[in-house]
Amino acid sequence: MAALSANAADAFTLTIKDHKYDPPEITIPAGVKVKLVVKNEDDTAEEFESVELNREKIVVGNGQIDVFIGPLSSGRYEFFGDFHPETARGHIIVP
Amino acid sequence: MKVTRLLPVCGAILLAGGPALADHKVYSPVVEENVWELEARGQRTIDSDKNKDDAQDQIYELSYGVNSWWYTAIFGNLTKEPQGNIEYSATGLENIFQLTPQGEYWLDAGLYFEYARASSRHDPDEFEFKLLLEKQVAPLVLTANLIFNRDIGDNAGKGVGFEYALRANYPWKRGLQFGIEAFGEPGRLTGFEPTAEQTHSLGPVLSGKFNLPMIPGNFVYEAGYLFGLTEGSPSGEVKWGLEYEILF
Repeated sequence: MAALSANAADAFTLTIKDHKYDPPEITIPAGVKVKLVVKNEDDTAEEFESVELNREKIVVGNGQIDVFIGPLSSGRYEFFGDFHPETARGHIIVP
Repeated sequence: MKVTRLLPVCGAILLAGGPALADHKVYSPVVEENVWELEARGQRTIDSDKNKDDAQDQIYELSYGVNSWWYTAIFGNLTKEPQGNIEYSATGLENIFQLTPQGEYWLDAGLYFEYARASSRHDPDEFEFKLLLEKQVAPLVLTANLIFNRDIGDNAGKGVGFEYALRANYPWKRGLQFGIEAFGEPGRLTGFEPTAEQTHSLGPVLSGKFNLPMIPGNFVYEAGYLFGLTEGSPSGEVKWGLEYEILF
């Protein structure tokens, strides 16, 4: 799926399906706080984790969580699923 | 020495109360829901003065993130005075209440409550409250704990004690993060000790998370060395911690 891009104050939805993030890339504006809505469509739990963003949050199977990030400066910020780090990987682009 | 001259000394010892060395852990206000944690951590002082050398504090703790805002734990505390023997000193309960969703506001905040029941009936129990604050200032995560404690029961010291715990952490990799931590015990709120008698320490702490093959869940470690900043502080202190966390 193509990368998502949106304006400030938007909420971004990130879906976990088959232990993968969809979309794997999200573009957000610099200097703005953003809410990521992480929906887990798998039956098993996953942990949304990003070392650079200092975020680590469990999302139960078929559940969803809100993750607030930012304001961020320009750069690329990796995130992954701590229970399936080989497949559940993505990144946030801040232009 | 006359008994009357001994009284202030005895009073000072009783005021000190509790463990020989405070638990030097910096708490984040952020709670991890549905996660069980089994944790061992401790410190040992290093000093050329035998009266300040080899004091130890060890905590063995089982905790659970009940929901997105409440974390609860039970722990056992082993302590050792310099030149003394290691002994089981207290059993405690601790609870953290996360007040704000992480990152939603300018500052993340939480409250910590602890009750530690002394194993010796001659020692006081202790109630401890901490205000937990955290702020991400990229690339650092800054955490501050403002700590207030009070002895309860026989031989309890009077007044409310004040301590602090601070950390600046650089999360470089999942397996290796660099931190600077500081801890201090200025004294009772009714009147701090003279600066030279207060304990303050500061030093580097490494931490990280790793996995072992065939074992579900994560291991979290930390290791650090704190330098004493005042005459009343031990010259140095080694701190360590190992935690196993698993989702249920």
